[in-house]
Parts: sequence; structure tokens; C-alpha cells
Amino acid sequence: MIFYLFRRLLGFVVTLWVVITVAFLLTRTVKGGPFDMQREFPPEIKRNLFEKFHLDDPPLTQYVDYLSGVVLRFDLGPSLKMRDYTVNEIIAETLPRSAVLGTLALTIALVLGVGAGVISAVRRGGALDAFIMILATLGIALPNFMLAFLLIMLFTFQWSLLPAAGFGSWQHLILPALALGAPFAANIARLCRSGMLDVLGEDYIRTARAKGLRESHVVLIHALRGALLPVVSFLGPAAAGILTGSLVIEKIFAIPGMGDFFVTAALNRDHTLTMGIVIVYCVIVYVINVLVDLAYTLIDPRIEL
Amino acid sequence: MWLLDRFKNLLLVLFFLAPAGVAFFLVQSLAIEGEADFTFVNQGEVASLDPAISTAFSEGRIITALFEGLVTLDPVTLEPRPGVAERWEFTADGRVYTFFLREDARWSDGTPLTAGDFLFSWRRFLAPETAAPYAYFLWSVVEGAEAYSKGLRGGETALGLAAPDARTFIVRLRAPCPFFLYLVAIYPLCPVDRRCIEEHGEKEWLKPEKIVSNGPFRVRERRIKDRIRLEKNLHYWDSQQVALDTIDALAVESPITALNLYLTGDVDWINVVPPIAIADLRERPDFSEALNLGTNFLRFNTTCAPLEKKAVRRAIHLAIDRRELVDGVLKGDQTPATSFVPPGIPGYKPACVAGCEPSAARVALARAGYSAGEGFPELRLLYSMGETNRDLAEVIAMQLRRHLGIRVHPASQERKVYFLSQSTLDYDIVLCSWVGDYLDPSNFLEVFASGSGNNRTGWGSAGYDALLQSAASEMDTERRAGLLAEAETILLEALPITPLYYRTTTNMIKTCWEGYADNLLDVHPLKYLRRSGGS
Repeated sequence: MIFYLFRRLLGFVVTLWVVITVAFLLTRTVKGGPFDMQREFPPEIKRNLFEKFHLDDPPLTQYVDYLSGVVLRFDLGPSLKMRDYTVNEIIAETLPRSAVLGTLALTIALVLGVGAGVISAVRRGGALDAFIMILATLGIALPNFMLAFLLIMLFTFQWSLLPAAGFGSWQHLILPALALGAPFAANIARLCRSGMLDVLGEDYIRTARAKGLRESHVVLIHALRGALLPVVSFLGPAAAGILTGSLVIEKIFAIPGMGDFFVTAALNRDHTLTMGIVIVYCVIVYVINVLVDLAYTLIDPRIEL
Repeated sequence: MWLLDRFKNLLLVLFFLAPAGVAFFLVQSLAIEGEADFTFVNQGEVASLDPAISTAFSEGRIITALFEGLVTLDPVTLEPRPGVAERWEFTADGRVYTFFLREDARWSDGTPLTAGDFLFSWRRFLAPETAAPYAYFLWSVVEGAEAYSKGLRGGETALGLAAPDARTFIVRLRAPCPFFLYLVAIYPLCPVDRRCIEEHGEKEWLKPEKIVSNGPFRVRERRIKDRIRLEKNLHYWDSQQVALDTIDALAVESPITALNLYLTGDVDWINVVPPIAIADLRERPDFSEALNLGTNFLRFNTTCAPLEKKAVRRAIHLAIDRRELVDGVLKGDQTPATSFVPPGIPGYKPACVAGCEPSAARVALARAGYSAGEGFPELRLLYSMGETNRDLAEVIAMQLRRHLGIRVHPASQERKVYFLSQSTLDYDIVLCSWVGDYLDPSNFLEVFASGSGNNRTGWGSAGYDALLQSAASEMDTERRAGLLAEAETILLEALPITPLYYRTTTNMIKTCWEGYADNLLDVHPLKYLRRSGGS
């Protein structure tokens, strides 16, 4: 276990370095710069701006400065666009909001998905099963922004139950978390159902039933655990998907999170902010993947790390 | 074993559900306290609260609430009105302006605001270290500004700014400038507090708990991408006239989200209405569409064939049906443009160019050697990503094929690449816009002066430049307007651009608010807003 974690840590350092380097190369080679605007400024003014942010240094110097800043001081530099803030400040303020939304979405995806999957498997072939699976297929097919607009139309304008957008109370989070989580819930429902069906045919389930255990106990304790394996392995990609999916949802619901910066920072050629967010995403996805691996061992005793 | 089993299940459940519990707990702590008197959508995150380095409209709305310059603009007529300066005078040759500061001008911490603060702020605005994007606005106007900005030796002593006493601020101009007071009113020239900046340092002084300002409001709280909460500044000299105690400026970016918030009553004012919704909202009493000081136009790259030929540019100009663009694509109150300088600038009558004349267009094209479009190379029509731009470009391409038989391919580019393509002349035709900063035709016409970085067409005319030059030193406003109109005529004869339509702005503000007025610059100072029937 300790050796495993050590190996992953090593892999993490290498991955992060590669990601930083590639991101650096991409941001510096892309066409258009942070100060190309509707209005062309006189060259002297542009030069002042470049000097101010050391963008006139040779690329290698910029790279070394950036890398040493990140490694030695955890300093991601000043934002080129949001001039009152450093990238660290921006991430520190917006990441928790995105994290709140993401965790809620993931929880909704899990609770709805596993619930629907179990019911569907137990009632296999019935009307309820068919209904749930149709819903799941729809959920996978429907892009999250469509769902978002649908939810706003119903819950905000039709029934006046929830706010249309904004941030600051739990009511504000229900629709975005639902819109963000639903497609993953649909996937999880399908995975859970098929996993459940596989497991329900296993010998140890027959043994459990033969012992005279209650059906609910058999299903929820014995079968579900086996059925969760494919779901847990899906959690890694799901978490990454929720992270990247949140940029659309954050925009529609005006959630002041980090997701939206992923796109706007790149569009604004705010190189430092783009890099900072890429690094944070990289760390998050890596950590989640390690956690998922650890969860395997909890679920299936046969797996050892 | 059974116990462990149970324990494991519990662990599993915790693993999945605990984060959600934490999240729910967190969200309450992230909430903002209380509701503001007035909430509006400010279209995007404010890049900076520093007046000197800001350029966008969204920043302007906040900065003009936080700071006040020597001169402000009347919200209805846009005429210069006293700000921190209670009066001003200028010499007969129009070269020296003296501003007399009001005695009760104070910073938000209660300390007096002096002419020295303006001296510091204007110098800071021009200084190369500040790298203020708009510093060049003053280069051709204020004596020594250009040299100072470029960091040339002796710049400081030659700079035409002085503060002989605490209440007098003097500006010496290079040449008389009839629109100088409009220029003084732009927000980058608002004063900043030297002590605050020196105590906390650049960037740090802008934090809500540290910033000191001098306008009708001050910052209470600022949350990235969420909102800026403003509160009334009790030290403001005119604070009795300020009705609102707190204001929330939301950073909501999507116009559709903004409209949703407006329709559900969460915000009081939105300053852009999504084009697809305009038809449905047009009749409402809280909807307003007003002429803006801006023109959308096509730039031609006059440095390469076939657009180097004036006749070709003229043919394209005459082949575009601008009415169809407005009615078919924009569906708003925009009017087809017959000039580059939009109408509405006091004392200026824009030049006028012929509109759509397909037969004359064909004649012009034939004269250039492309009878019925034969042998005409395929051109690219560049536009910045976006649905409206795409539709405009496609309709224009269709009209050119219909009227001239030439092929033009609309090509979208991501915004920054689009700007780069223009400044490097890497295009054939490009769809663009220009929005004025102050009410003067030179603000438009200088774009196409030969050396101007904004020209981006490769076109230049000695006659045009000379007219702008003589207009710049002309004291008589009528003669000056005549010279500028003459220059515009040259521009519209040479057609390095072809104007398409005059822009409009759309706003929705709840009818319970008064003190809001439409104007050409689309500026709506928060200072004047109050509830109808009392404050």
C-alpha cells in the first residue's frame, strides 16, 4: 500500500511536469496575445505592458521563472487580465465554489444512479425497468446545457420554485447540480444495473438467499457491493467530466466558480490563469483517480494494491 | 467479521456521501449577507478597479461610481458638468485650462482631496510603469504627455501639468482642443489616492478593505465573478443627492442568464438584451433601445489585389443592401449607415455616401476589369466568432454574389486571432465596429490617419491627414467641424472601409426606478438613480 502510494506520487510529479510544459508551450505558441484588442495601442504602450508582465523575456527564461515560481513558492503568478488579483487568489476564492457544485452533482449522480440501477435490476424486464432505462438513455443523450434550460423553464418560470441563477444559498445550487449530475446519473444507472444483474446470478447470492436472509439484505448488502465495482471505476472519468462540464453550467447559472475560467482565461490569452487552472485540474483528476483505486480495495477484498 | 463488514459498508457510504454534507455546510458560509437596494448585471468580471488601467464598459460602470474626475457628464445631455472641479476657465488661445477644485472634495476616508492628488494621478496615468492602455489619449493633447509616457529624458519637467495650490489644477495643451472637457471626463483620469497606493502598494491598494476613493460610492465587498457590493460614500461632497445606500453589481456574463434574472425580479437593470428576445420584449415599458455612438463597418485590405483598386471597393460598397442586414439579421432599431461618424455629435454633420445601388456597383466592378465578376478572385470575409456576426457575414456574402457575381467566403476567427489578423493585415475584408469614447468626430476620424495603429487597412491619404491636422489646431468650432467633415468625405470617397449600420444599445430597467436616461455613450451613472416618488 505504502509502496503503491509512493509510486503514484512519483507518477504525479512527472505528470504534472509534462502538463505544465505542454500547457506552457501551447499558451506561448497560440496566435494572438493578451493585449490584442479591439483597439490597437501604440507600440510603446504595448511594450510597457509586456515589460510589466515579463512577457518580453526569452521564452526559456519565462519557462524557468514560471516553473521555479510554482515549485518553490506555490506562486502561479499575476493574472494578465484580472489585474487586481494573483492567480493564487483567484483559484483560492473560486475553487471552493466549484468544488461545492461538483460534489453535489457527483452525489446526485451516485444516489440517483445507484438507486435507479438497483430498482431497475430487481424489477428486470418490468415496466419500471423500461421506464428507468428510457430515462437513462435520454439523460445520456441530452447535453447538460439543454437540460439546464429545461430545468429553468420548469422550476423557475413555470412553477416559480427555484431561482434562475446566482449563488449564495442551497436553493441556488439545486438546478445546476441536477443539470450537471443527471447525465452521469444516467450512466451510473446503466452500469449499476448491468453490474447488479451479473452479480445476482452468482453462487454467493444463491447461498445468501439459501441462508434465509431477507431479500433486501441480499440485494443491498451482498449484491450491491459487487455491482458497485464498475460504478466506482466510472467515478474517475465522471469526476473529470463533472469538472469540465461545470464550465457550461457555471455560465448558465452564473455560479462564480473556477470552471468558467477554464475557457475564458484561454480566450483572453490570460496565460498565467490558464496555466494555473490546468495545474489545478491536473491535481484534482490525479487525486480522484488515486482515491478511486483505494475505494476498490474497500469494495472488493480480492483487490490488493 | 460481520462487524468489519458493517464497518466497511459504513465507510463506503461515508466515502460517497460525506463530501455532499460538507458541500451543503460550505455553501451557507459562502453566502453574502442581505440584499442590496439596487442590483444590476454588469456583464462580466471587472478586470480592475484601478481607473488608470481599465478599458472596458463593465469597469467604467463601477469606476465612475467609485471615483469622480474633475468634470463629469450630464446623464441626459452628456454635456460637461462640474465634478471635483466646481468651475474651470481657459485662456483665449484655448491652450491653458485651469480647474478650481471644490473645497468640500474629500476621499472616502475623510481626508481632503487636493490638486496635488490630480497631479499625482494624471502623472501616474501617463507613466510608463503604469502601462495604462489609454495613456495615448493625452499624447496629442497635453503638452509633454507623449515624451513623459515614452519615458524620454526631461519628461517630468516638460509635462504640462501643475498644481500651484491645493485647489488649483492647471493643464497646458499642445494645441487648442475643443473636446478637451469631454476627454477630462473619461474615467481613466479620475484621481487615485497617493497615500493609499504608497502605503499598500500597487495591486494591494485595490482590495476592498484598503481602497480609498472619492466618488458617490465605495466598495464594501468584492467577490470574484460573483459581485461587487457598493455602499454610499458619506464623505462624497454631493452625498445628499445619492439615494441608494447599497448596490450590487453582478458579474453575470451570459445575456440569457441576465435576462432570466431580470424576468424573475432578481435584478433591477440589465444593460444588454439578447437579440433573440428583443422582438418579444420591445413593447414593454421597461425596454429601451437607443442610438449608440458607434458604427459597424467593413475594413478592406487595400494593400493587395483586387481590393487595392478603388473601383472594386466601390463596387462592394454599392452592392451591400444595409437595410436587409438590419431588418433580416439584427431585427433592432439600428439604421443603415451612410457615414463612418455616427449621427448625434453636437455641431457635426457627418458626410454622406450613397447606399445600395446594384447597377452602379456592376458598372464599378466592370470598370475595374471584372465584368460580371469574371476573373474576380475568391475573397475571405473575416468575422469574430458569434452568431450575429456569422449571420451578417453570410448575408453580405450572399448580396455580393447576387449583385456582383463574386464569391466571398465568410470565415470566423476566435476574437484574439481576429484582432491579430487585422493588425497584421492578414485578411481581405473584415467585419468590425468602432465605438466612440467621447463626443467628438476626431475620436472616429483619427482611426484612419496614416500612422494610426487602429487604421488596419493599409490606406493612407496625405490630404486626409492634413485636414485632421488643421482641424486639430482650429479654434473656431464651426470651421473645425467643416474640416473634419471634409476629411470624412475623403474617407468615404476612397472607401478603405464601408459603413454598414449605426449601433444601438438595449437596456431594461424596472419602471420603479428614475434617474436613468438613454444617451449616445450608454453611460448611466448610479449616483442619479432613485425610486420613483421619493428616494
